[in-house]
Amino acid sequence: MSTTAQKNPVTGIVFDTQRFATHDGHGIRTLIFLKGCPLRCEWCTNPESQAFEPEPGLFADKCAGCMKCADVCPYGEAFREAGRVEWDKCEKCLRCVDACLYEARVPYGRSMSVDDVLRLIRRDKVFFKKSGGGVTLGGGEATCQPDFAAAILRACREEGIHTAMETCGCTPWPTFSRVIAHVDLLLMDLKHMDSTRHREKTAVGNEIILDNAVRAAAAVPEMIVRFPLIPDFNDSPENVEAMGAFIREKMPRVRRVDILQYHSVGESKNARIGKEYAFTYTNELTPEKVDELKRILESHDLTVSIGG
Amino acid sequence: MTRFSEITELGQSARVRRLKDRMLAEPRYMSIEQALIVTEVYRNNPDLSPARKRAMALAEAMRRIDIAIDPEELLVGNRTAGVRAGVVFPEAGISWIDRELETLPTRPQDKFNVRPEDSVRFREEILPFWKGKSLEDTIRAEAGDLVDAIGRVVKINQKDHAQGHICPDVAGWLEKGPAGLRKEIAARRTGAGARQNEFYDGADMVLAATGDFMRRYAELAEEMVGRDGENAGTLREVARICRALPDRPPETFHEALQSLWFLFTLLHLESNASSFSPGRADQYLYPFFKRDMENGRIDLAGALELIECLWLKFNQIVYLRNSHSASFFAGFPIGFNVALGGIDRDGNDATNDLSFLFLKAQSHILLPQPNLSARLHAGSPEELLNECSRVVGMGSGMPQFFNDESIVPALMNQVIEPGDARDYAIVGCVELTTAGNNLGWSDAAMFNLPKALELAMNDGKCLITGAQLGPHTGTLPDFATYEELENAFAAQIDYFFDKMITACEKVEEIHQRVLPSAFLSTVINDCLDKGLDVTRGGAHYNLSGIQAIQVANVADSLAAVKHLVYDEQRVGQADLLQALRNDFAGREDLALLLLNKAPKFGNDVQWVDDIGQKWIAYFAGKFAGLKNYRGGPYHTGLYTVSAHVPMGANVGASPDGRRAGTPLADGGMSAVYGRDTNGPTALLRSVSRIDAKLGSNGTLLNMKFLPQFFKTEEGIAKFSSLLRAFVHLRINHVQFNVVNREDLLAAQKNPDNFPHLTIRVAGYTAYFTELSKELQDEIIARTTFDNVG
Repeated sequence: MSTTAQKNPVTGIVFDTQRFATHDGHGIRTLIFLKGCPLRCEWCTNPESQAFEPEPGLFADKCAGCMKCADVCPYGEAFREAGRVEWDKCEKCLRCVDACLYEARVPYGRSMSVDDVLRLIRRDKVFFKKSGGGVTLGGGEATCQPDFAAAILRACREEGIHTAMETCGCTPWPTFSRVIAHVDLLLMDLKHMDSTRHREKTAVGNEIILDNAVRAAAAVPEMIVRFPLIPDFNDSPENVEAMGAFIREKMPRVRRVDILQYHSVGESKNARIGKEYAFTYTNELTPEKVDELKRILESHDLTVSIGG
Repeated sequence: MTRFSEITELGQSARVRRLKDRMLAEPRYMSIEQALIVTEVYRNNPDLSPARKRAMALAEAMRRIDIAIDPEELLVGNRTAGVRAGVVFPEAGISWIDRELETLPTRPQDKFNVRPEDSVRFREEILPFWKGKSLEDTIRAEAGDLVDAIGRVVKINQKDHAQGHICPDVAGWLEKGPAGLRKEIAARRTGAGARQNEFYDGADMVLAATGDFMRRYAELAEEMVGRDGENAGTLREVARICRALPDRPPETFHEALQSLWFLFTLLHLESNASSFSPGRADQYLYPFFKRDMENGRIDLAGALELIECLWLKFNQIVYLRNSHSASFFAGFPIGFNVALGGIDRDGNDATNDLSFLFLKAQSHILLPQPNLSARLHAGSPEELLNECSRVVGMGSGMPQFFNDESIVPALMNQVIEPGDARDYAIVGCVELTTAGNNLGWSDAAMFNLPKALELAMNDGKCLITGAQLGPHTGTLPDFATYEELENAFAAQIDYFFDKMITACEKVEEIHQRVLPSAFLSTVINDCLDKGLDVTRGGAHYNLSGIQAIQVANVADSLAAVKHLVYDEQRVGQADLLQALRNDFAGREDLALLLLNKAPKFGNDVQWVDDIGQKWIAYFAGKFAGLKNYRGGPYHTGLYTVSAHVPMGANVGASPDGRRAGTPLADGGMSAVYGRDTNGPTALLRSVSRIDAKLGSNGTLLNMKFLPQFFKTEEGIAKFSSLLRAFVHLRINHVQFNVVNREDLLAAQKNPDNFPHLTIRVAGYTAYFTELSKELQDEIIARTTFDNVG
């Protein structure tokens, strides 16, 4: 096992890792998802990544009702019947995860050092090299753990590994800029051009985000805007037109937008951590409508793809 | 420069489509026609030596067997008038047919119809004569007890059929033809001894009959011209070629393909063996193709149509196995293994237009044969990788991939000379061989390592039957340390290993006596030089291959015991052994603990992978210095074909959390299905920790992807880069099933709606709906890689 000369003791909370990722940046990549997010998007597809601390998740359909979790739970109260958790009693100690033989409990988040993360990333160096891939930091929001994120990205770059980061962009510029300084490719979400609407569905306004987007577009080697297309929220032609114009005028180096279409996976994932899924909509996104919005963006001289 | 971009535009000819439909519509029958001829020859010539009788019987069959021509086919020839017939081959063994005759049409795997009159003639005219004379009966009489005694740990193969898995010298055959070979024989007779002359007599006799066989097709085609004006042009050309080939070598591409197909038809007529491989056809056919293209005799579309006609022919010869063997090798694979691409004898890239035409033909035909293999190396052109990726994405499981970077050194690590190693071909499913000069005997035996481990934990006693199979080496509770368990494991392996070698030698010796093969010997170098039959060691190389089965189960089982019993002491020794004896009855918790709380092979966990490497190396190391009965070396392979199902049926509950009787890991190098949870890169890295040199007889790694991965050019490019990484990691082999789980489930439910759905079983492709339900279930359960979201 290879190790770097200097140990990096910085640690962070990693929510998940995924090797052989092929849709978040070029080539074959390893994704490192950092835990914690400043936004609370109603449709969030990774609700288990929002909280900053590790937490257990419940796969109720795998629970066999052996109640070993209740035996090890130091608080004693969280488990009273099969396939259920009394979430208000859970102190997130995660002892139930190891006790469960049925994989009905999974840990969402664990502490890792920069060295731990690098050891994992290095394993797939040959695949990065052959495919033009690398590492992608995702979340949650990676810039919420700025020292950890920056240290991972810097170390990767030093080893010649291509670095990418997905971001919602909602971190003050001094911190944000410190992290993206080590990024070869930035994949940044733009969700709505109207700050009031943005706040209604994500719990924050878009001022910091748009400001960061403009500055980042000038600062990073390559940037792709990602547009999560959410029915009844940001799918009006007016919003998409405004976004296209904004990108073309304020972010001239950005040539590509990826439309990420809404899907309802967040619903079942919320249930696993005892949360409600608040998002509802009435008007389906038809292929024709998606195509119409795509053409609006293309009219601003942007290359648009559906899916990342 | 290849004409790659023109080739990708080519469509499939209407002729080929019609031929394919007619072929698939024809039902499969058992055929006793050749058996009747062979029986007659043997009965009428009781005093002749086996070599002379065999040659005479083959010559008779070539002259008398019923033949047929489809008026539209450009390439003709078969060993029966019907297609896909199950040929009864009495010299090798028919006792099993007697036992299974009634169930052939209904058995779960590889069904054949039986005509009632054939059933009667088989039992009255054929069966009684061969009692005690066939290979099968001779082996049973002389080595049956030994084979049975070790049967639960070692499966000895080649007991009831002639030796196959051979790549003949097709290039030499195309250069000389039967007439040229006869001249060579005549030249060698001077000063030859009695035994050599007997060999030359037989070889000459069958080569003479070869010419007659070809001429019979010429006559039939000429006769059909008068009856079928519409196809008169095609039939005249067929007749012209079949008239010419007995007397001179082929000159055109069409003639070369016809000559090649006659060779393989006749090899099957002589041996009815599993797998004679064309090998590197894109190399030795290229001069014919190039000349015809240059002088305007054919164009790319014409060449493709001829290739597709050959591809159809490869599907017309199937192989009748007994029901047990059919469950090991399901879907009657016959292994016309065609290799494309790779490096030449000097190490330069050998990809050419034919490599791309072969891929194009595969994308049109999508049938189980040929077993198409792409050889890759560090310098393989990008277009070849991308085209391979595209064809794999279509779902027939082909081409499968072989890695020159690891295989060439692995072969050179045996006795193979560098030029021959670089010119390697593939036989059967995934077995490696040199081209035209090797009797590789690549399926001598399969050694069930998880069974040996079971015996090591239970004092040599079978967990299923309680019978004492191996030596007394103690039970799991007796072992104070993990190392003591390892010592017992080694002792069990040693015990069965020695008996296996004795059995393999006996089987080879009986083959020499009962099944000398004159025709095959004329196309394996150096048999004619030595005047020695191929079964007696006439070939330049005389390897024997033995399979170590199954690395994932060994690694997972030992890792679980080491981690949970000895390191963490979370599981008691006696507790574990008791649970294994009871197949985890009432101990679901323990099975889950073993399954979910111990790391598994295939997840890039080095210490677990290293356990697998350690035991494969231990097993392979035992062959050092040993010589097989023909004087060549043994080497090891890591593949099971589909034997992981029946071999698993024979292994009790195991410490990897596996239930008694359930399948072992598939393939050979694969992780246990569903237990590789870290994705394809982790799996490939785990597999790369098993030294490729230990798999010089062949290895097998299955991977499964979803079709949507191949939908975009970006996906194709990423898949190609995965192949590049595979080459870099020096893994010998990988193959891909690209199919939706939903489609497989639907096909299982409504087989009639999916008659053409082909699936990669294990080193070969079969029709999914023709597999037994058990094997279908296992294929559905294999881990699928998608990551598209």
